[in-house]
Amino acid sequence: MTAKKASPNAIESANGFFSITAEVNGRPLTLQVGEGEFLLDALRRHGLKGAKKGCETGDCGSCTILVDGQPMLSCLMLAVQAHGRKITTIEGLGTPRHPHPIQEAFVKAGAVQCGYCIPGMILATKALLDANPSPTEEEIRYGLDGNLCRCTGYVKQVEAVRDAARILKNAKSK
Amino acid sequence: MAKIHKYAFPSTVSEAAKTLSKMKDGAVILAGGTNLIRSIPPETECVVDLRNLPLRYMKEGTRALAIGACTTFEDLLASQPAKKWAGGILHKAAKAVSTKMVRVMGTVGGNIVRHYPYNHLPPVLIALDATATIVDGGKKKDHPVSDILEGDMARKLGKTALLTEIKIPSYARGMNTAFVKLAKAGSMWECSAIVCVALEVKGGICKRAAISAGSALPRAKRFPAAEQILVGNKITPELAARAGEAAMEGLTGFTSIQSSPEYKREVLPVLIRRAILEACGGAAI
Repeated sequence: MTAKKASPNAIESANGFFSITAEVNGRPLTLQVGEGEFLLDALRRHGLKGAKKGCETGDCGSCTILVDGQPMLSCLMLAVQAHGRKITTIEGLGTPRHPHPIQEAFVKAGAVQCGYCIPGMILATKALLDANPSPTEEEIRYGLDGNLCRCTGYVKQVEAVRDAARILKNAKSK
Repeated sequence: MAKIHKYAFPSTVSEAAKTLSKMKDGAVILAGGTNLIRSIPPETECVVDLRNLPLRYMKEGTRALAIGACTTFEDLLASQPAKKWAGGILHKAAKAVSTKMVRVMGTVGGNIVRHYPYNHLPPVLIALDATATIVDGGKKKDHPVSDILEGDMARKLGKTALLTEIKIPSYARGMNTAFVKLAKAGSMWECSAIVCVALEVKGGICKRAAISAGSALPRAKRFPAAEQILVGNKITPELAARAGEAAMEGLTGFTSIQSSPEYKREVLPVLIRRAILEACGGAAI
C-alpha cells in the first residue's frame, strides 16, 4: 500500500510513511519518509550524508541545506516539509573531480580542518553569494553566523568566502 | 515522537481554518518551525503548514502598518517599513535574532504564538501597542498582542486558532525607540533580558511612553508605573533612572534564563534607564 493523497493541498501517510516528491540536487525524486521523521534523518537515510548531525537543536548549523535556494536547518524540519520543494545538499554542489568554486576556495584558503561544519558553511556561503555577490567582511560574518566551527577562528573561512566571491564574479564577467 | 498522519499545506486562510476546525486538538500549525519542530505534542495527527498562505507581506496604511504572520525575520531585515517605522525597532529586533538560518525560517507569527520568554518580537510589539488578527472557529477578530500572550487565547493559538496579521498603529510610526538585548553572545537566541522603549517627544517633553521587557520575565510585560514617570516631563538621566526603579516595584517571578533572577533584578532597571536615554538620543551611561 502506498501513501495516499488527501486533497490537492494535503498528503496522508500509509503504513507509517508519507510518499513525497521533491527536487533533490536537481533531480526529481519520490521519497518515503517517516511520519515524525526529521528531514536531516531522511536525507542521510537516503544516502545524502553531507548534511551532518550536530546539535539537532538548530544551534550549530552543521545540518544546513538549501531549500528553494535559502539556507535552512534540516534538523528543524520534518521530512514531509520537503514535499514539492527544491532541496540542495552539499552533494549537489560539486563533485570530487569537479568541485564548486566555493569548495575550491575553502580548500585553497586552508579553511577546512576537521571538516564537520564545512558542508553547512559552504551551502550558507552559496546562499550568501547568490544574494550578495560582493559581501563585506561584516556581511560575510553575519551571513555565516549560524555555522559554528570549533577548530578555527573563522579567519580562513572569511578569506575563503572573499576568494570565492572574487572567482565567481570573474567567471560571470567572462 | 508524534505520529503525524496528515500534512496539509492550504493555500487560503479559510481552507486552513476549515482543516483546523475538522482536526480539533489533533492539529498543530507550522510556520517557520524553529520553535515547534522539536516539541510537537505527541498526540498530534495533522500538521498544517502555512507555507502557501498569502501571509508574507508588509503593507503601510494610513491607520497601521500591517505585517503578515508568515513574514520572516529576513523579510523584516529587507523591508523599508521595518527600517522606517518606530525608529526601526522591528529591524533592530530582527537583526538581533540568533542566526541566519533562524532568520530565514522564523516568522513574526511564530514568534508570538510559540511564545518563549526570550522571543524578540513580543516586547517590541507590546511596546508599540500592536494588535493581532486571529481567525478562530471561522471568526476573525483583532486582539491586543499583550492579551494573547497568556490565557485562553495563548492555549488555542497554534492549534485551533490562527494568527494571520499584526498591525502596528500609525501613531507609533514616528516614535523614538530603543531595543536592548543582554546576552552572553549577540547571536544567542536565549538571552538574559530584552528591553524595549518607545517614546513620543515633542518640544523636549515626553508625550507618550512605552517600556517593556522580555526574557527576564516569563511573558513580555509593560511597566505602566515607569511610563507614567516619563510622560509630561523632560527626560533626564535621573528621570530615566527613576523610571527603571519604578518598573521593579512589586515585580517578581524573574526567569533564570542565562543568568540568575537576582542578577536580573539588578540589571533590568539599568537596561531600562539606558534604553530610555538611547531612545531620546542620549548616550548610554
